[in-house]
Amino acid sequence: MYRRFRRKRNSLQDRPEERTTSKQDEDREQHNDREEEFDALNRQYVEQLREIPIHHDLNDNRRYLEYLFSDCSDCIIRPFRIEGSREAFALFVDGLIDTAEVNRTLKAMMIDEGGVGNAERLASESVPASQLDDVDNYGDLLLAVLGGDTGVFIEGNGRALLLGLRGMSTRSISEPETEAVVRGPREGFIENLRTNTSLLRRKLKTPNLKMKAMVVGNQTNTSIAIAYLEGIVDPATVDEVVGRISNIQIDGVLESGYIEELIQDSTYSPFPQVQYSERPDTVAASLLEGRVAIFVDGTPFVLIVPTTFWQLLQANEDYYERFQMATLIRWLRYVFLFIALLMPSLYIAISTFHQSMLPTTLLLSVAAARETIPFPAVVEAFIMEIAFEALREAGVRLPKTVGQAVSILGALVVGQASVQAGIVSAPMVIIVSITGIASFTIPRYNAAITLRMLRFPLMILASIFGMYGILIGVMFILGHMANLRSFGIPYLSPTGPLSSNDLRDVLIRAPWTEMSKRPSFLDIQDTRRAGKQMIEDVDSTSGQKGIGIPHPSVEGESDA
Amino acid sequence: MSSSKKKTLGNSSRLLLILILSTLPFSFGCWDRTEINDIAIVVSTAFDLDPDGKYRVTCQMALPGQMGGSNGGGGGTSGQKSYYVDSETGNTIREANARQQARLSRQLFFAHRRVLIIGEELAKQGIREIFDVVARVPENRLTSNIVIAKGKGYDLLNAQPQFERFSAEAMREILQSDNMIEINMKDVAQELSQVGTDPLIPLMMPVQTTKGKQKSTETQFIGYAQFHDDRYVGPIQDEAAQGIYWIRQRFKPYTTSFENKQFGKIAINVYKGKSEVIPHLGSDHITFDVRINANCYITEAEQGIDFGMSENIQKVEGVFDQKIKQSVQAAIAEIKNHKSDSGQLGLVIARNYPRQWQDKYEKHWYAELQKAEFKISVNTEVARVGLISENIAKKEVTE
Repeated sequence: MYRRFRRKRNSLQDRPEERTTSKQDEDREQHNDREEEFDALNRQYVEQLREIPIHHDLNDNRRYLEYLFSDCSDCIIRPFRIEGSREAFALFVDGLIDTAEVNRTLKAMMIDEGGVGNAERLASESVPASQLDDVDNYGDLLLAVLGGDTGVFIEGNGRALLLGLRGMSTRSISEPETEAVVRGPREGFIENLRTNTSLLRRKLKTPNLKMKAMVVGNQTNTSIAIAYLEGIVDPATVDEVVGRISNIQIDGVLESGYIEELIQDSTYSPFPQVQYSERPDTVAASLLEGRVAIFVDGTPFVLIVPTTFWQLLQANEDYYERFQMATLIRWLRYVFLFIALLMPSLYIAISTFHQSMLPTTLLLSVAAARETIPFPAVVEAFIMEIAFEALREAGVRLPKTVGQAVSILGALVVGQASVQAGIVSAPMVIIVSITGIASFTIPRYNAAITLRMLRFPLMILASIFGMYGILIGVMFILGHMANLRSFGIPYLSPTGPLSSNDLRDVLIRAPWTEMSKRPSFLDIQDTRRAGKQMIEDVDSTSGQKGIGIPHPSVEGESDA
Repeated sequence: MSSSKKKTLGNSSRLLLILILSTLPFSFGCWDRTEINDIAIVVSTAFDLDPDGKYRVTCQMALPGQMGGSNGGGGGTSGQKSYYVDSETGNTIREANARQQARLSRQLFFAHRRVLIIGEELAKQGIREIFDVVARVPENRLTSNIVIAKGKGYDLLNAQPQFERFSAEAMREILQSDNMIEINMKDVAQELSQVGTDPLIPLMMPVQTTKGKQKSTETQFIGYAQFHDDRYVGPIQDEAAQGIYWIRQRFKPYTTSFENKQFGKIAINVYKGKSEVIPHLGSDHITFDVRINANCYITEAEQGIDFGMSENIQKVEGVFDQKIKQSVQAAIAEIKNHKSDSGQLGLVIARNYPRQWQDKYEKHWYAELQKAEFKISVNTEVARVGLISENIAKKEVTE
């Protein structure tokens, strides 16, 4: 292939004006032939260029690169001469490199007096770059250069040097917007993969933290890092993750959502089977429980697998504040989970089928409010729910400058005018608002989405079958959840199948001294997380009493 | 599971499935769907007996439109009643209901009936039939309160109490207050089905308030209705009603007042009490030993006696003993007079001596009750005399 390519390049070289002359001047047939061949080459994915080796002839390499990067104004080829030695050129993408560093390195090479000029010697003696590599094929070279490395070609060398002098501008590390906390670290992942892995490494300073690198996406060549803690994680899970990711064949991966969809267990389920997080502490905590994290270059959202349902209802802050409060908040979430899912359908069912279930005075107020409403309860509920969903969607897409105006308008239209005009009853507005608030209490946005979606079929069921329909719907949802798996782990673990020891992190948030074991349902290797001696000490005195510290106020007691 | 099934289906059969599923709601849905504004919420019903022997059924229904819900241009509640009372007669209660329904645009809905009123005339004839009508459909609640009306039942429904929107609501609030025996339909049905106890149902009547600027008709609790089996035989009121609490061993706090030579006019509140009725089976009559422990406090004492002195307290306690004893005796007189076991005395015997009750007393219980004798012992304790032990306006006289 390369041979054939070289022949074409040579013929190109023979008539250098060919590329600049217009098509009309060309022999049409010959031109078409060559174009076709080039097109075929162009359409190939970078990875396939691995078959093409780097040639010893510098000009050959240069011409090929010039062809590959034709019309790429950001790709720069900078020829230079190593002093007293050979010709060379550097290849880099402007904007991805640290220009000052590249300048310095080139300078160091240029004054490399009278050296032999082979790549190995240069690398070891005169290139002041900390990250250095050499490649012998175009596939690896292009992947590196397009990722920000600088490639250096030297006359007579079949290998090119890769200088890791990346300096692309990135967003600075800031507080994650989707997972804000009151107490906890304020740093969040950004788009750059290396920055993200470094953030995690700063949390887990251990060589046990492994990061397997992979590349996915034929055109995007997105870098992926699979992070896990060796010694804790079940190796089968890691193998499964690596296997599923290496099976991916797609042209582009622009966000971790692509990966999530391509590796999840049940494509058609409304439930998220992969958790994502913007927070290094959340990811670190997951790894410590024996999960696997998947970093995807270009997005701050890191995937965490396996994921269970209860995990989606837990926030990192649960572990930072007092455990009693965390327990209460967890229960608040569980209650509001049901409200978010069932409130509108319960209202429909009760107000159209089971009026006898309401307390009399409540029924009378509802009846009074509904007196002038022209729609059946289910239509009313649908109008309001859809209006609310539209408002929410608009709120996300709106430019910030008009956001306030629209929210005021929305509040007025939905909250006031529709009630005063007698289109929608006030209880319905209350129901929709509570439902809306309830869905925001779920810490994971993708879990809240599920509830928002499932609400509507339940509303239809409620309008047809009443309470019976809701029960059937909920049973169906539960059955589906019991059926789901995430990387082999049942979705409802640890409640179904029950592993009662792990419930102390689901029903309540037990204090750390009571959670000395990692959750066992994940089939991990190392189960103990806290030292036995410390746990026993704390348990015996239900806290650290500091008995050794005397205080005047209890002196008498201690004497006695 | 569903996804794998879908995959095996062909495109056309999947379309068919979707079509069938989408027609489902239209084919069998909503047959018992009723919107809230399609029902007439009955909050109370009165059953009466007309002179011609027909039942008169009166329903009090809420008018949600008049209750000031949020609406566009809906009138306020000023002047307009928030309820509607409709009355109809029929040979049966259901017939009357059906006739009412024929002129109502909304479906009668009885699940929220909170008070069932039975007129005096109908109660005299017997209330057992009512329980057939009420318990036959699940919509009716057996936990609703039951009231005997002095006079006509529908008069109570037409009363317009000031605090509540409906008289039914007012009656229910009164009936649920702490100082009367609360009885719902289930309790009455239970007592009717047992020998040795007769129901005691609150008796109410509409009264015009007097001397106020704005006249209003309130529903007033005036005592309990006594029954002989299921027939209303007469009221039990005031002192006798207080006495019946002790005999029934179901204490309810009450206030009573009396005049005494030594202490003048005194009002007390009996706030805590416990009574015990112990039967002794004699060869020809039963003796009931009624032992009462009462705690009370003085709420009014005109004479200005210093209750800070313990001998005064002791003396006044003796007077209270007598007072309570009197009330129990009054209750016993009512029981014997009306041949009504509203004190649940038969139950006391049935529980203590089940064999003898079955063999000897059950068949002629009312006759036995007439012969029964009562020994009453009362022990009153004045626990509180109020914030002051004597009138603060009493003139200080230096001795």
